[in-house]
Amino acid sequence: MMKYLIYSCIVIFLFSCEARIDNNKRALFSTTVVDANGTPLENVEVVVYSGFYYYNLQSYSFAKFSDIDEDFILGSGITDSNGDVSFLMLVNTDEQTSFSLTSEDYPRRNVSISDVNYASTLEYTLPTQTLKQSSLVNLNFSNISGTTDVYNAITTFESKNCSQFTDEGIITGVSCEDQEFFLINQSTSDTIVEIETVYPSIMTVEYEDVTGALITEQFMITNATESYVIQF
Amino acid sequence: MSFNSRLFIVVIILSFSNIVVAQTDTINDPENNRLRRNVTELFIQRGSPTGDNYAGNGLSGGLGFGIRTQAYLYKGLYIGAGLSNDFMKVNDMNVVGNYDRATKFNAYLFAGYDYRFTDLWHITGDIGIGYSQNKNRQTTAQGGAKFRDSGTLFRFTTSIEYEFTPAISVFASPSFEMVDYKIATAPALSNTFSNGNYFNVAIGIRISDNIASIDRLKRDIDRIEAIPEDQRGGVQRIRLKIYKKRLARRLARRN
Repeated sequence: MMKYLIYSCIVIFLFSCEARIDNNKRALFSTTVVDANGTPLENVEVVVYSGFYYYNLQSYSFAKFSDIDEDFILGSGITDSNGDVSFLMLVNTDEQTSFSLTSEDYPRRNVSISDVNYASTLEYTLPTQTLKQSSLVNLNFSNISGTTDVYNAITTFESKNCSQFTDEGIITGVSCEDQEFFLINQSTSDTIVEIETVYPSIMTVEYEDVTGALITEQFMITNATESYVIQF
Repeated sequence: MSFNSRLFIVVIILSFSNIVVAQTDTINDPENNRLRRNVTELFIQRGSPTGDNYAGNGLSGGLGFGIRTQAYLYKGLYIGAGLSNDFMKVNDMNVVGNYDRATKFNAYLFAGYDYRFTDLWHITGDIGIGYSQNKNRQTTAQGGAKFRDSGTLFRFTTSIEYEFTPAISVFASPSFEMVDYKIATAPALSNTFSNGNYFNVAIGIRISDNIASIDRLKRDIDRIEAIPEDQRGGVQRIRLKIYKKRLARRLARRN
Protein backbone atom coordinates (compact mmCIF):
# COMPACT_ATOMS: atom_id res chain seq x y z
CA MET A 1 0.00 0.00 0.00
CA MET A 2 2.78 2.39 1.02
CA LYS A 3 4.63 1.53 -2.19
CA TYR A 4 1.67 2.63 -4.34
CA LEU A 5 1.35 5.78 -2.28
CA ILE A 6 5.00 6.63 -2.91
CA TYR A 7 4.64 5.88 -6.64
CA SER A 8 1.57 8.10 -6.78
CA CYS A 9 3.48 10.91 -5.06
CA ILE A 10 6.33 10.55 -7.55
CA VAL A 11 3.94 10.72 -10.52
CA ILE A 12 2.18 13.77 -9.05
CA PHE A 13 5.57 15.37 -8.38
CA LEU A 14 6.75 14.78 -11.94
CA PHE A 15 3.66 16.24 -13.55
CA SER A 16 3.20 19.10 -11.12
CA CYS A 17 6.80 20.26 -11.44
CA GLU A 18 6.85 23.24 -13.70
CA ALA A 19 9.88 25.29 -14.54
CA ARG A 20 8.95 28.93 -14.68
CA ILE A 21 10.03 32.18 -16.17
CA ASP A 22 11.54 34.77 -13.84
CA ASN A 23 9.03 37.18 -12.36
CA ASN A 24 9.47 40.90 -12.93
CA LYS A 25 12.23 40.63 -15.53
CA ARG A 26 12.68 41.60 -19.17
CA ALA A 27 15.91 41.29 -21.15
CA LEU A 28 17.13 42.42 -24.54
CA PHE A 29 18.59 39.87 -26.94
CA SER A 30 20.72 40.89 -29.89
CA THR A 31 23.08 39.21 -32.31
CA THR A 32 24.17 39.20 -35.95
CA VAL A 33 23.90 36.25 -38.33
CA VAL A 34 26.27 35.75 -41.26
CA ASP A 35 27.05 32.95 -43.70
CA ALA A 36 30.36 31.12 -44.02
CA ASN A 37 31.77 33.99 -46.14
CA GLY A 38 30.80 36.59 -43.55
CA THR A 39 27.89 37.93 -45.61
CA PRO A 40 24.95 39.11 -43.45
CA LEU A 41 21.93 36.83 -43.68
CA GLU A 42 18.45 38.34 -43.87
CA ASN A 43 15.18 36.69 -42.73
CA VAL A 44 16.78 34.25 -40.32
CA GLU A 45 14.39 33.47 -37.50
CA VAL A 46 16.05 33.58 -34.09
CA VAL A 47 14.11 31.90 -31.27
CA VAL A 48 15.36 31.96 -27.68
CA TYR A 49 14.08 29.21 -25.43
CA SER A 50 14.76 27.85 -21.97
CA GLY A 51 16.86 24.77 -21.36
CA PHE A 52 19.58 22.89 -23.12
CA TYR A 53 18.81 21.50 -26.52
CA TYR A 54 20.27 18.22 -25.28
CA TYR A 55 17.28 17.82 -22.97
CA ASN A 56 14.74 17.98 -25.74
CA LEU A 57 13.40 14.50 -25.22
CA GLN A 58 12.91 15.03 -21.49
CA SER A 59 11.07 18.28 -21.92
CA TYR A 60 8.87 16.79 -24.60
CA SER A 61 8.00 13.77 -22.52
CA PHE A 62 7.29 15.34 -19.15
CA ALA A 63 7.08 19.10 -19.12
CA LYS A 64 4.55 19.94 -21.78
CA PHE A 65 3.52 19.35 -25.35
CA SER A 66 5.39 22.10 -27.14
CA ASP A 67 7.68 21.61 -30.10
CA ILE A 68 10.21 18.86 -29.48
CA ASP A 69 13.08 21.27 -30.00
CA GLU A 70 11.87 23.99 -27.65
CA ASP A 71 10.92 24.34 -24.02
CA PHE A 72 9.56 27.76 -23.01
CA ILE A 73 9.94 30.27 -25.80
CA LEU A 74 11.49 33.39 -24.29
CA GLY A 75 11.55 35.62 -27.36
CA SER A 76 11.97 35.65 -31.12
CA GLY A 77 12.91 37.90 -33.99
CA ILE A 78 13.92 38.03 -37.65
CA THR A 79 17.25 39.33 -38.93
CA ASP A 80 17.26 42.47 -41.08
CA SER A 81 19.28 43.10 -44.25
CA ASN A 82 22.41 43.65 -42.13
CA GLY A 83 21.92 40.28 -40.46
CA ASP A 84 21.10 42.05 -37.18
CA VAL A 85 18.30 41.02 -34.86
CA SER A 86 17.28 42.56 -31.54
CA PHE A 87 14.20 41.76 -29.49
CA LEU A 88 12.68 41.74 -26.04
CA MET A 89 12.94 38.44 -24.22
CA LEU A 90 11.72 36.87 -21.01
CA VAL A 91 14.25 35.44 -18.57
CA ASN A 92 14.55 31.82 -17.56
CA THR A 93 14.45 30.76 -13.90
CA ASP A 94 17.14 28.14 -14.34
CA GLU A 95 20.51 29.14 -15.65
CA GLN A 96 20.43 27.54 -19.06
CA THR A 97 19.06 29.16 -22.16
CA SER A 98 19.44 28.27 -25.83
CA PHE A 99 18.54 29.84 -29.10
CA SER A 100 17.92 28.51 -32.56
CA LEU A 101 18.71 30.00 -35.95
CA THR A 102 16.29 28.93 -38.66
CA SER A 103 16.45 29.88 -42.31
CA GLU A 104 14.93 28.49 -45.49
CA ASP A 105 18.40 28.09 -47.01
CA TYR A 106 20.26 26.65 -44.04
CA PRO A 107 19.77 23.82 -41.56
CA ARG A 108 18.60 24.89 -38.14
CA ARG A 109 21.40 25.61 -35.68
CA ASN A 110 20.97 25.57 -31.89
CA VAL A 111 23.30 27.40 -29.54
CA SER A 112 23.38 27.00 -25.75
CA ILE A 113 24.28 29.92 -23.52
CA SER A 114 24.45 30.41 -19.78
CA ASP A 115 22.20 32.97 -18.12
CA VAL A 116 24.76 33.63 -15.40
CA ASN A 117 26.70 35.91 -17.70
CA TYR A 118 23.75 38.14 -18.48
CA ALA A 119 21.77 38.11 -15.24
CA SER A 120 23.19 41.38 -13.93
CA THR A 121 22.62 43.52 -17.02
CA LEU A 122 19.79 41.60 -18.72
CA GLU A 123 21.48 42.42 -22.03
CA TYR A 124 21.97 39.24 -24.03
CA THR A 125 24.39 40.59 -26.61
CA LEU A 126 25.64 37.52 -28.43
CA PRO A 127 28.68 37.39 -30.73
CA THR A 128 28.14 36.99 -34.47
CA GLN A 129 26.59 33.64 -35.39
CA THR A 130 27.59 31.80 -38.54
CA LEU A 131 25.15 29.64 -40.45
CA LYS A 132 26.52 26.91 -42.65
CA GLN A 133 25.01 24.48 -45.13
CA SER A 134 24.57 20.86 -44.13
CA SER A 135 26.72 18.13 -45.52
CA LEU A 136 26.42 14.35 -45.47
CA VAL A 137 29.80 12.65 -45.26
CA ASN A 138 30.31 8.96 -46.02
CA LEU A 139 33.43 7.43 -44.51
CA ASN A 140 34.38 4.07 -46.03
CA PHE A 141 36.86 2.09 -43.91
CA SER A 142 38.41 -0.41 -46.32
CA ASN A 143 40.40 -3.38 -45.01
CA ILE A 144 43.43 -3.86 -47.30
CA SER A 145 45.75 -5.41 -44.70
CA GLY A 146 43.53 -8.44 -44.13
CA THR A 147 43.56 -7.98 -40.35
CA THR A 148 40.71 -9.46 -38.36
CA ASP A 149 41.16 -7.17 -35.36
CA VAL A 150 38.35 -4.76 -34.42
CA TYR A 151 39.47 -1.16 -33.91
CA ASN A 152 38.07 1.90 -32.23
CA ALA A 153 37.71 5.03 -34.32
CA ILE A 154 36.79 8.59 -33.35
CA THR A 155 35.47 11.20 -35.74
CA THR A 156 35.53 14.85 -34.75
CA PHE A 157 33.42 17.23 -36.82
CA GLU A 158 31.44 20.46 -36.69
CA SER A 159 27.90 19.96 -35.42
CA LYS A 160 24.81 21.97 -36.27
CA ASN A 161 24.47 22.62 -32.54
CA CYS A 162 26.88 24.78 -30.60
CA SER A 163 27.66 25.92 -27.06
CA GLN A 164 28.90 29.31 -26.06
CA PHE A 165 31.72 29.11 -23.55
CA THR A 166 32.39 31.81 -21.03
CA ASP A 167 34.94 32.39 -18.34
CA GLU A 168 33.88 34.61 -15.41
CA GLY A 169 31.29 36.33 -17.53
CA ILE A 170 33.52 36.91 -20.54
CA ILE A 171 32.63 35.06 -23.71
CA THR A 172 35.62 33.00 -24.74
CA GLY A 173 34.16 31.41 -27.82
CA VAL A 174 31.48 29.33 -29.44
CA SER A 175 32.21 25.66 -29.92
CA CYS A 176 30.29 23.52 -32.35
CA GLU A 177 32.56 20.51 -32.12
CA ASP A 178 30.99 17.07 -31.89
CA GLN A 179 32.41 13.56 -31.82
CA GLU A 180 31.24 10.13 -32.88
CA PHE A 181 32.74 6.86 -31.65
CA PHE A 182 32.42 3.61 -33.56
CA LEU A 183 34.06 0.25 -34.20
CA ILE A 184 35.59 -0.72 -37.52
CA ASN A 185 36.29 -4.14 -39.03
CA GLN A 186 33.49 -5.87 -37.15
CA SER A 187 32.53 -7.80 -40.29
CA THR A 188 34.32 -8.98 -43.40
CA SER A 189 32.78 -6.21 -45.53
CA ASP A 190 33.95 -2.59 -45.44
CA THR A 191 32.67 -0.38 -42.61
CA ILE A 192 30.67 2.57 -43.93
CA VAL A 193 29.84 5.42 -41.54
CA GLU A 194 27.49 8.29 -42.38
CA ILE A 195 28.01 11.57 -40.55
CA GLU A 196 25.89 14.72 -40.75
CA THR A 197 27.91 17.89 -40.49
CA VAL A 198 28.14 21.34 -42.08
CA TYR A 199 30.36 22.87 -44.71
CA PRO A 200 32.83 24.44 -44.98
CA SER A 201 34.35 22.60 -42.05
CA ILE A 202 37.06 20.15 -41.11
CA MET A 203 36.52 16.54 -40.16
CA THR A 204 39.15 14.56 -38.27
CA VAL A 205 39.26 10.74 -38.09
CA GLU A 206 41.46 8.93 -35.57
CA TYR A 207 42.02 5.17 -35.46
CA GLU A 208 44.74 2.59 -34.81
CA ASP A 209 46.41 0.78 -37.67
CA VAL A 210 47.51 -2.87 -37.60
CA THR A 211 50.79 -1.95 -35.89
CA GLY A 212 48.93 -0.18 -33.08
CA ALA A 213 50.01 3.29 -34.19
CA LEU A 214 47.45 6.11 -33.88
CA ILE A 215 46.53 7.41 -37.31
CA THR A 216 44.93 10.84 -37.70
CA GLU A 217 43.39 11.95 -40.99
CA GLN A 218 41.74 15.28 -41.76
CA PHE A 219 39.24 16.06 -44.49
CA MET A 220 37.99 19.41 -45.74
CA ILE A 221 34.21 19.31 -46.07
CA THR A 222 33.22 21.64 -48.88
CA ASN A 223 30.16 20.05 -50.46
CA ALA A 224 26.66 18.89 -49.54
CA THR A 225 27.78 15.27 -49.94
CA GLU A 226 31.28 13.93 -49.51
CA SER A 227 32.79 10.43 -49.56
CA TYR A 228 36.17 9.40 -48.26
CA VAL A 229 37.87 6.05 -48.28
CA ILE A 230 40.16 5.21 -45.37
CA GLN A 231 42.33 2.17 -45.88
CA PHE A 232 43.79 0.22 -43.02
CA MET B 1 -18.92 51.43 -31.67
CA SER B 2 -16.61 50.01 -29.01
CA PHE B 3 -17.85 48.66 -25.70
CA ASN B 4 -16.17 51.52 -23.83
CA SER B 5 -17.95 54.13 -25.95
CA ARG B 6 -21.31 52.45 -25.40
CA LEU B 7 -20.73 52.22 -21.66
CA PHE B 8 -19.74 55.88 -21.58
CA ILE B 9 -23.01 56.82 -23.30
CA VAL B 10 -24.98 54.75 -20.78
CA VAL B 11 -23.25 56.58 -17.91
CA ILE B 12 -24.05 59.96 -19.51
CA ILE B 13 -27.71 58.97 -20.03
CA LEU B 14 -27.94 57.80 -16.43
CA SER B 15 -26.47 61.10 -15.29
CA PHE B 16 -29.01 63.13 -17.28
CA SER B 17 -31.89 60.91 -16.19
CA ASN B 18 -30.87 61.69 -12.62
CA ILE B 19 -31.66 65.36 -13.15
CA VAL B 20 -35.18 64.44 -14.24
CA VAL B 21 -35.70 61.90 -11.47
CA ALA B 22 -34.26 64.24 -8.86
CA GLN B 23 -37.11 66.66 -9.44
CA THR B 24 -39.64 64.03 -8.41
CA ASP B 25 -37.71 62.67 -5.44
CA THR B 26 -39.28 63.27 -2.07
CA ILE B 27 -36.51 65.19 -0.36
CA ASN B 28 -38.46 65.35 2.89
CA ASP B 29 -38.89 61.63 3.11
CA PRO B 30 -38.14 60.59 6.73
CA GLU B 31 -35.80 57.91 5.32
CA ASN B 32 -33.63 60.76 4.11
CA ASN B 33 -32.05 60.77 7.54
CA ARG B 34 -30.78 57.26 6.99
CA LEU B 35 -27.02 56.75 7.44
CA ARG B 36 -24.96 53.96 6.01
CA ARG B 37 -23.01 51.72 8.33
CA ASN B 38 -21.22 49.68 5.69
CA VAL B 39 -21.57 48.82 2.03
CA THR B 40 -20.43 45.82 0.05
CA GLU B 41 -20.37 45.91 -3.71
CA LEU B 42 -19.97 43.32 -6.42
CA PHE B 43 -19.12 44.45 -9.90
CA ILE B 44 -18.02 43.50 -13.37
CA GLN B 45 -15.76 45.83 -15.23
CA ARG B 46 -13.97 46.40 -18.45
CA GLY B 47 -10.39 47.52 -18.04
CA SER B 48 -8.38 49.22 -20.74
CA PRO B 49 -4.60 49.64 -20.49
CA THR B 50 -3.67 53.19 -21.49
CA GLY B 51 -0.64 55.41 -21.90
CA ASP B 52 2.77 55.09 -23.48
CA ASN B 53 4.02 52.14 -21.46
CA TYR B 54 4.27 48.40 -21.93
CA ALA B 55 0.71 47.78 -20.73
CA GLY B 56 -0.80 50.57 -22.83
CA ASN B 57 1.10 49.59 -25.96
CA GLY B 58 1.13 45.82 -25.67
CA LEU B 59 -1.97 44.68 -23.78
CA SER B 60 -5.65 44.92 -24.62
CA GLY B 61 -8.36 44.98 -22.00
CA GLY B 62 -11.05 42.48 -21.26
CA LEU B 63 -13.77 41.79 -18.76
CA GLY B 64 -13.05 41.56 -15.07
CA PHE B 65 -14.85 41.33 -11.78
CA GLY B 66 -14.34 42.42 -8.22
CA ILE B 67 -15.63 43.02 -4.75
CA ARG B 68 -15.26 46.00 -2.43
CA THR B 69 -16.44 46.58 1.07
CA GLN B 70 -16.41 49.83 2.94
CA ALA B 71 -17.21 51.03 6.44
CA TYR B 72 -18.56 54.50 7.13
CA LEU B 73 -16.67 56.48 9.74
CA TYR B 74 -18.52 59.78 9.85
CA LYS B 75 -21.49 60.73 7.68
CA GLY B 76 -20.35 59.89 4.12
CA LEU B 77 -16.69 59.40 4.95
CA TYR B 78 -15.64 55.80 4.45
CA ILE B 79 -12.67 53.47 4.35
CA GLY B 80 -12.58 50.06 2.74
CA ALA B 81 -10.78 47.27 0.95
CA GLY B 82 -11.17 45.89 -2.55
CA LEU B 83 -10.18 42.92 -4.66
CA SER B 84 -10.44 42.64 -8.43
CA ASN B 85 -9.42 40.39 -11.29
CA ASP B 86 -9.12 41.55 -14.91
CA PHE B 87 -8.43 39.42 -17.93
CA MET B 88 -6.26 40.90 -20.65
CA LYS B 89 -4.84 39.71 -23.96
CA VAL B 90 -1.42 40.42 -25.38
CA ASN B 91 -1.72 42.28 -28.66
CA ASP B 92 1.97 42.95 -29.27
CA MET B 93 4.55 40.44 -28.05
CA ASN B 94 7.38 42.66 -29.25
CA VAL B 95 6.34 45.16 -26.57
CA VAL B 96 5.42 43.00 -23.57
CA GLY B 97 7.30 39.73 -24.14
CA ASN B 98 6.53 36.29 -25.43
CA TYR B 99 3.26 35.40 -23.71
CA ASP B 100 -0.39 35.29 -24.64
CA ARG B 101 -2.57 36.64 -21.84
CA ALA B 102 -2.47 38.24 -18.43
CA THR B 103 -4.74 38.24 -15.41
CA LYS B 104 -4.43 41.41 -13.36
CA PHE B 105 -5.14 40.95 -9.67
CA ASN B 106 -5.53 43.97 -7.41
CA ALA B 107 -5.79 44.11 -3.62
CA TYR B 108 -6.04 47.57 -2.12
CA LEU B 109 -7.28 49.81 0.68
CA PHE B 110 -9.13 53.01 0.00
CA ALA B 111 -10.72 56.03 1.63
CA GLY B 112 -13.32 58.36 0.18
CA TYR B 113 -16.59 60.17 0.49
CA ASP B 114 -20.14 59.15 -0.36
CA TYR B 115 -22.35 62.12 -1.18
CA ARG B 116 -26.11 61.63 -1.40
CA PHE B 117 -27.34 64.44 -3.60
CA THR B 118 -30.97 63.34 -3.79
CA ASP B 119 -32.91 60.78 -1.84
CA LEU B 120 -32.07 58.01 -4.29
CA TRP B 121 -28.82 59.06 -5.92
CA HIS B 122 -25.27 59.01 -4.63
CA ILE B 123 -21.93 59.91 -6.04
CA THR B 124 -18.76 58.56 -4.47
CA GLY B 125 -15.07 59.17 -4.90
CA ASP B 126 -12.13 57.47 -3.26
CA ILE B 127 -8.42 56.99 -3.57
CA GLY B 128 -6.69 53.74 -2.86
CA ILE B 129 -3.29 52.15 -2.57
CA GLY B 130 -2.37 48.48 -2.71
CA TYR B 131 -0.77 45.63 -4.58
CA SER B 132 -1.20 44.76 -8.23
CA GLN B 133 -0.02 41.62 -9.96
CA ASN B 134 -0.24 40.55 -13.57
CA LYS B 135 -0.14 36.78 -13.84
CA ASN B 136 1.12 36.16 -17.35
CA ARG B 137 0.61 32.92 -19.24
CA GLN B 138 1.99 31.47 -22.43
CA THR B 139 0.01 29.33 -24.83
CA THR B 140 0.81 25.65 -25.03
CA ALA B 141 2.66 26.31 -28.27
CA GLN B 142 4.81 28.92 -26.49
CA GLY B 143 5.62 26.42 -23.75
CA GLY B 144 2.81 27.07 -21.28
CA ALA B 145 4.95 28.95 -18.77
CA LYS B 146 3.56 31.29 -16.13
CA PHE B 147 5.24 34.27 -14.51
CA ARG B 148 4.27 37.47 -12.76
CA ASP B 149 4.77 41.21 -13.02
CA SER B 150 3.88 43.05 -9.83
CA GLY B 151 3.96 46.51 -8.37
CA THR B 152 2.31 49.12 -6.19
CA LEU B 153 -1.19 50.14 -7.15
CA PHE B 154 -2.60 53.66 -6.90
CA ARG B 155 -6.28 53.83 -7.71
CA PHE B 156 -8.82 56.62 -8.07
CA THR B 157 -12.43 55.44 -8.16
CA THR B 158 -15.64 57.35 -8.72
CA SER B 159 -19.19 56.10 -8.98
CA ILE B 160 -22.75 57.19 -9.50
CA GLU B 161 -25.32 55.09 -7.68
CA TYR B 162 -29.08 54.66 -7.75
CA GLU B 163 -30.91 53.10 -4.81
CA PHE B 164 -33.64 50.61 -5.59
CA THR B 165 -34.25 50.12 -1.89
CA PRO B 166 -32.34 51.46 1.11
CA ALA B 167 -30.41 48.19 1.13
CA ILE B 168 -29.87 47.55 -2.57
CA SER B 169 -28.58 49.87 -5.22
CA VAL B 170 -26.86 49.73 -8.59
CA PHE B 171 -23.93 51.79 -9.72
CA ALA B 172 -21.63 52.67 -12.59
CA SER B 173 -18.04 53.36 -11.71
CA PRO B 174 -15.23 54.76 -13.82
CA SER B 175 -11.81 54.32 -12.22
CA PHE B 176 -8.20 54.96 -13.07
CA GLU B 177 -5.28 52.86 -11.90
CA MET B 178 -1.58 53.57 -11.97
CA VAL B 179 0.75 50.66 -11.22
CA ASP B 180 4.35 51.33 -10.30
CA TYR B 181 5.90 48.07 -11.52
CA LYS B 182 9.12 46.66 -10.07
CA ILE B 183 10.18 45.00 -13.32
CA ALA B 184 13.94 44.74 -13.78
CA THR B 185 14.89 45.36 -17.39
CA ALA B 186 17.77 45.92 -19.73
CA PRO B 187 18.68 49.66 -19.56
CA ALA B 188 17.17 50.33 -22.99
CA LEU B 189 13.72 49.15 -21.83
CA SER B 190 13.45 50.63 -18.33
CA ASN B 191 11.11 53.53 -19.11
CA THR B 192 8.62 51.29 -20.85
CA PHE B 193 8.24 48.82 -17.99
CA SER B 194 8.38 51.13 -14.99
CA ASN B 195 4.65 51.75 -14.90
CA GLY B 196 1.28 50.84 -16.37
CA ASN B 197 -1.99 52.74 -16.47
CA TYR B 198 -5.47 51.27 -16.68
CA PHE B 199 -8.86 52.91 -17.15
CA ASN B 200 -11.80 50.81 -15.97
CA VAL B 201 -15.54 51.16 -16.22
CA ALA B 202 -17.52 49.00 -13.81
CA ILE B 203 -21.18 48.32 -13.22
CA GLY B 204 -22.45 46.47 -10.21
CA ILE B 205 -24.69 46.12 -7.23
CA ARG B 206 -24.24 47.58 -3.76
CA ILE B 207 -25.67 46.06 -0.61
CA SER B 208 -25.96 48.59 2.21
CA ASP B 209 -26.30 48.07 5.89
CA ASN B 210 -27.97 51.27 7.10
CA ILE B 211 -28.33 52.84 10.49
CA ALA B 212 -32.05 53.29 11.14
CA SER B 213 -33.35 56.84 10.81
CA ILE B 214 -34.20 58.98 13.80
CA ASP B 215 -37.81 59.14 12.73
CA ARG B 216 -38.09 55.44 12.33
CA LEU B 217 -36.42 54.80 15.70
CA LYS B 218 -38.84 57.20 17.35
CA ARG B 219 -41.77 55.42 15.71
CA ASP B 220 -40.53 52.04 16.88
CA ILE B 221 -39.96 53.30 20.44
CA ASP B 222 -43.43 54.86 20.53
CA ARG B 223 -44.96 51.63 19.28
CA ILE B 224 -43.34 49.55 22.03
CA GLU B 225 -43.99 52.14 24.72
CA ALA B 226 -47.65 52.14 23.72
CA ILE B 227 -47.84 48.63 25.07
CA PRO B 228 -48.39 48.59 28.83
CA GLU B 229 -45.15 47.77 30.58
CA ASP B 230 -46.46 44.64 32.27
CA GLN B 231 -47.68 43.29 28.92
CA ARG B 232 -44.34 43.70 27.07
CA GLY B 233 -42.49 40.54 26.19
CA GLY B 234 -38.78 39.98 26.80
CA VAL B 235 -37.84 40.66 23.20
CA GLN B 236 -39.79 43.90 23.19
CA ARG B 237 -38.03 45.08 26.34
CA ILE B 238 -34.62 44.32 24.84
CA ARG B 239 -35.54 46.01 21.57
CA LEU B 240 -36.72 49.09 23.41
CA LYS B 241 -33.36 49.37 25.18
CA ILE B 242 -31.46 48.96 21.90
CA TYR B 243 -33.66 51.49 20.06
CA LYS B 244 -33.23 54.04 22.82
CA LYS B 245 -29.46 53.62 22.79
CA ARG B 246 -29.38 53.95 19.00
CA LEU B 247 -31.56 57.01 19.10
CA ALA B 248 -29.30 58.62 21.67
CA ARG B 249 -26.27 57.88 19.52
CA ARG B 250 -27.92 59.19 16.39
CA LEU B 251 -29.05 62.37 18.07
CA ALA B 252 -25.57 62.91 19.50
CA ARG B 253 -24.04 62.35 16.06
CA ARG B 254 -26.47 64.75 14.40
CA ASN B 255 -25.70 67.41 16.96
